[in-house]
Amino acid sequence: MLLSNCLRHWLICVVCLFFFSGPVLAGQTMENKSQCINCHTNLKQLIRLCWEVEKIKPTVQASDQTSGEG
Amino acid sequence: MELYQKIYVEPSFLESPHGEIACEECHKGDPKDSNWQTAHDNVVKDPTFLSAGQVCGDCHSEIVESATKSLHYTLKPMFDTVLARSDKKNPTVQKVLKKSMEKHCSTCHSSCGQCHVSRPDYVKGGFLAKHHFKKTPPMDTTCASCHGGRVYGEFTGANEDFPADLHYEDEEMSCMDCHKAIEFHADGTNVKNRYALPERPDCSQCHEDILSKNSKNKAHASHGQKLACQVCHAQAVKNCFSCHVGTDKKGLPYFKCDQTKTDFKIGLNPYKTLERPYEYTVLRHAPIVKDTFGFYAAHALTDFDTVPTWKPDTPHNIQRETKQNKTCNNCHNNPKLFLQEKDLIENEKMANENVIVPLNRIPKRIKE
Repeated sequence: MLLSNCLRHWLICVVCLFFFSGPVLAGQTMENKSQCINCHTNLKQLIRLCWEVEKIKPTVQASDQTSGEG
Repeated sequence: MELYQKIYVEPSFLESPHGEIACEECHKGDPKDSNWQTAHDNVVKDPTFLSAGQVCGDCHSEIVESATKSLHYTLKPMFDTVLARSDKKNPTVQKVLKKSMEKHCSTCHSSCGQCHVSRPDYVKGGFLAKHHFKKTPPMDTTCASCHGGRVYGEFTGANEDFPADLHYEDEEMSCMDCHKAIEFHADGTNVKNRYALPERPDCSQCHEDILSKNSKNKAHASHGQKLACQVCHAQAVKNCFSCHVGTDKKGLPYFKCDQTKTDFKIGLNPYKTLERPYEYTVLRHAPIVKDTFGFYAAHALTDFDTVPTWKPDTPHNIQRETKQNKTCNNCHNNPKLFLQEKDLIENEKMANENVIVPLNRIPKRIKE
């Protein structure tokens, strides 16, 4: 009787644990699925990252000898 | 355009057919790496240039097959025309010219992605619509990016004193109303110049029977197919002279074009075909001179005289009434409108002898 009570409590705990942590784990899995999507669809994060990129990567220069129109 | 605007992907794109494809399938890179720097190792910004078959070809194989041989993708007639002017017996010159054209001229090529997804590389890219694919490319951000120097400005009336093309101004037409997908995607392998492409547009596709002998318009009935439509209906265009390319001390390519002139010149049609049998056509000076590539190879264009530098043109600034068609004698007996020897710059007489209009071929004055 005592054993079955313990087992029942243990099972409830396990089920609760899965129930509450499930969506979080699933969400994390989704997020980890593609970092490309995580960054490129998140405007705030993208702006911050672009500041970083611009600090590190110099902008492509155009030659100052280019002149005229055409 | 800010960097983030160029690369922001709208979440709704992921629900579109192209959005269902995993990013790395087209763009490579490592989608599991949370460090943006290493994640972007091997990333291919435009997967549709030079390997369109691998990315677009799975679903659009027929279009890709011909589009990768199209004039916009290969720029073949432009390369051919430069090489036709070159020293063909000198393999070193040929090699150097091809390399320098790749460095300078190829920057303007197009690709599937650079029409349907982003602005062309030539203007440093950036999504057209947050990675959504545009079946019909928007002309102000795609066509204008490469054709902005001359044609787009003429079409939209950006040149002072010359109103916009009436197709744009009055009818609100865009480039794609005349230049259809079938033309852009057409195989240009055996095409000598853009006018030889069978899929190219023609005024008569909309203005049917306008040149028929029964036309109510006397000018159309009498001139028939002696003149290209633009001879009567176009305005002055920008002509570029003295163009030079080279590489500066930092290794960056440069372009110099120190002389341009807006002018209107009628010449003889050097490329008569069944579709374009005109005796007279509008000419525009191409951005080439004998030493355009002199920085890379001196005397590279030894056969410069074999191709006219004043080439047939179809200006995109059409008006119903123009200076030359206002009265008959605005054109008849008006030598200023016709290309003559005195209009040529140094060393160009031989190259243009087939397009110059001799005095005896300038139409005589008529009684109105």
